[in-house]
Amino acid sequence: MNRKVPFMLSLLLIIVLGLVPLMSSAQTVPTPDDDTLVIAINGEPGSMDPAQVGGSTGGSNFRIMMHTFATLYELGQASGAIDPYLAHSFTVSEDGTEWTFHMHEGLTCDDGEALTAEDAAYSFNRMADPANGFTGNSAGFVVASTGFVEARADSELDVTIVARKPQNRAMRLGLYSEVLVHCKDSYEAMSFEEAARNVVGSGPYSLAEWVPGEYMSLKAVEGFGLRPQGFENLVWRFIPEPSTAVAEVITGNVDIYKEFPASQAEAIRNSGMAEARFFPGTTRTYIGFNLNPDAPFRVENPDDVGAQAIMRTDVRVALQYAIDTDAICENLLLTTCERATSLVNPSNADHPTLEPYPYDPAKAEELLDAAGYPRGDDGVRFSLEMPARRLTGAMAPEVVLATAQMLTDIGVQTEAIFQESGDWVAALITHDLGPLYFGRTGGSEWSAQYDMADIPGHEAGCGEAETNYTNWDNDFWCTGWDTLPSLTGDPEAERELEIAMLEEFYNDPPWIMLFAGPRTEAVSNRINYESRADYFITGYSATLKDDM
Amino acid sequence: MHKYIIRRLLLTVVVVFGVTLLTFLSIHMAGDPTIFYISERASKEERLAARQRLGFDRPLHIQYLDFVVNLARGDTGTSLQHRVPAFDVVMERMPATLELTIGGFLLSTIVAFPIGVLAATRRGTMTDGTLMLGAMLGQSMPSFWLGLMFIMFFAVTLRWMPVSGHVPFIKPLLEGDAGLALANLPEAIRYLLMPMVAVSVYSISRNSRLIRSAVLEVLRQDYVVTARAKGLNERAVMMRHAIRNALIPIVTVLALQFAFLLNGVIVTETVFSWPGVGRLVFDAVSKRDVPLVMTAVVLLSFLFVGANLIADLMYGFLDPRIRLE
Repeated sequence: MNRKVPFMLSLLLIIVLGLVPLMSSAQTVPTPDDDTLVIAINGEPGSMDPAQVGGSTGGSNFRIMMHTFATLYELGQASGAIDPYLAHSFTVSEDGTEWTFHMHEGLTCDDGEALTAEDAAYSFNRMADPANGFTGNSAGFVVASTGFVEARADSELDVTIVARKPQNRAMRLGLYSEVLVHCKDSYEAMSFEEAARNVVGSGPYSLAEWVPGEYMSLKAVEGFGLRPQGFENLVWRFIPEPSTAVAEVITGNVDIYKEFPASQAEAIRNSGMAEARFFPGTTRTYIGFNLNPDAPFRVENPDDVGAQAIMRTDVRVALQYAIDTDAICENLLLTTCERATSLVNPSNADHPTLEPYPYDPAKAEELLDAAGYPRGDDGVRFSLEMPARRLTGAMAPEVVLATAQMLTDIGVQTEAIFQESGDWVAALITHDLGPLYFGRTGGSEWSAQYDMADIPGHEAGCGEAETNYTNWDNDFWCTGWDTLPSLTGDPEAERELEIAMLEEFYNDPPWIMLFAGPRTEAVSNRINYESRADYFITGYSATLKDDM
Repeated sequence: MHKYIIRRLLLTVVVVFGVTLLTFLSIHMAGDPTIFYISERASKEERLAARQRLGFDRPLHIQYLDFVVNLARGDTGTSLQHRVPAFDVVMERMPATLELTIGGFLLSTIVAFPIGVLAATRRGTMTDGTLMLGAMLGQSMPSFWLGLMFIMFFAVTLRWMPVSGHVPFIKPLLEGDAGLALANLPEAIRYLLMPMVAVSVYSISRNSRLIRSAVLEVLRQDYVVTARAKGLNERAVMMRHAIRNALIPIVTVLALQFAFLLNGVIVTETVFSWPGVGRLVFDAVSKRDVPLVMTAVVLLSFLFVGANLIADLMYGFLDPRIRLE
């Protein structure tokens, strides 16, 4: 045995030495340098197929694909702007159903294939074709929200997109700006499996390396003139744990990290490596009242006083006064935020004159007494459960618990129940979550109707419409929504109706309106970068500071 | 011996069958996976069509039998999230998980052994008390907390270690690029160190206590007393008589420990952004990616059963009196 050990060690040494000439240069985890910008995101892309954007199958791919694929128009960096991109202009048919985009000349995809109107039409038709089975933002949200019928190439540079009916211009343009354009020949030659892993892009960056579970590295496309390319390389690192991502920022290994936990702002600032930014976001945070009469909690327990009480408008109005959003924002989110008056972001075209419900617990109690729900001997008027998820930022457990406590303080005993994300989403989509639920939903700064689209009209089922998670069945709202398309030629009348609908939402609230965002973003001190209020991170616009 | 191995391999099939059945039922009990793979704006008709397209409209037993039949053919289906074969998705993450698990297993074994033996031989002394107190503390600390503390201290404060990430070693080896694997080795170890320690602290603590008990048990045996009476020095008594005989229960526990480490890597992989199967499965479960979850479970079950089989086979080497029939 003892004689074998030196022999084995010698053999191992010989093998190792023998391998030395074969050694290639070692792999490393990419770090920032003069040519490389590193962005951390919590999720990771599943598929990189441009027709499969966002949703369960996409994860974080939308943020990345905004760099590898271009769109006809683009949701701009500046608040509310929608800027020309692959198209320089557009015209709308008289009836408002056909939008023709006029594209730039000389565009190409990564593989050198010419990018023309035929490719743009193909991109829309491919993602919308049910036979392809795409889901997520484009195939689901854009198709349904615009009433997409088909896209066709009218000439080499003119593509027309046909919808069932007219729609608010900003809304439609914004939605079309979420469809990623890709080259027909390249994608027709690929199977779905191949398209999920290979990128033949049309944007300012091309895919250089994808290490699943770790990072994706993009390289600037030479000669792409439609957008800046501040860095030669963009690296997207997939870091699921927020504290770990913050540690990477502090140690200078990550340049941009959106949505860090507010409690870690001081650590970021003290590191001297990055700025900790707070700003109003477009994601709306709210407490939903589930009004679905067939929800399991209502059917299984018909005598549940709380579940019945929130069916009444006067009770829902009373509860608006119970939440001190200023205290939540200042103490838990470490910033100030503006309370919303409706489901439209305050930074968007919300109601021009309505004042947000103030924090006034005495009034809340008075209204509940008047509604016939006095405090019992134990101080409780009725009890409610409030399912929530364990997320960060405005959805952090401490925020959920604070709102539950504030409701409990006025005698509405509220129990926050933290669920696994999948269970929570499943119940939300089927309108079974509640009776209260703590939620958030994406919003915009460029169209009130985009924010209002969560609750569509009678044509889409009104209360039963899929995204109307509270099952709010308000005839004025739903009729109004169905009327809006007919008013696209008369912007004043259209706006007047929008305002009336928002007032209805305020007076018969299906949500306790909280606030938009707020968002946080850590940005390295070595770069110039303008934060966006929405979900996106436009890494291409970041540049190295002159003194770096 | 051969008969035994064949019998165990057949039993493996039964175990995998049972595990997949339980996993399949639990993932479906959480609700219809279809809603995760359609637009939130989809109408009821679209939802039904998607359900049909994904095959979730069929009775559960048919879906499960389908899975089993396809599995026997080597087809585990296409991941709903990734839209590529689920087997490929799991296998590209498996090397990273194995690096972490094997690293953690080796570390916990190598460290726990001397601690356990030392504590046993110094029973009742300050050394024994200190080591066992440390073991108790180690068992009390959750690995995610420990991982975050390591990051704060060694990566952020001292800047000795990388915060997170992974440099592959096993993957290039499996791809036949030994040169790259070797070139990666120093960095691979540097990136592995903190997650490996975080994942193995619990095992080190538990194993050292078990090893201490096993060695103490053996030290009471007559043959150890006889060995001492013969005048053998303490080292010889420990090495030739005590430890060797204490190995059988220890090996059993170590094999189970390997499986335990496989489970434990989910949290550690998340904290250290380690691109392993644990993180993948966690994400797949929350998105109800049935084919991906099932594939990962099948592969991990094989690893689990394989570790136990190796432990069984080792009994024969450790104690020639044991014959595996």
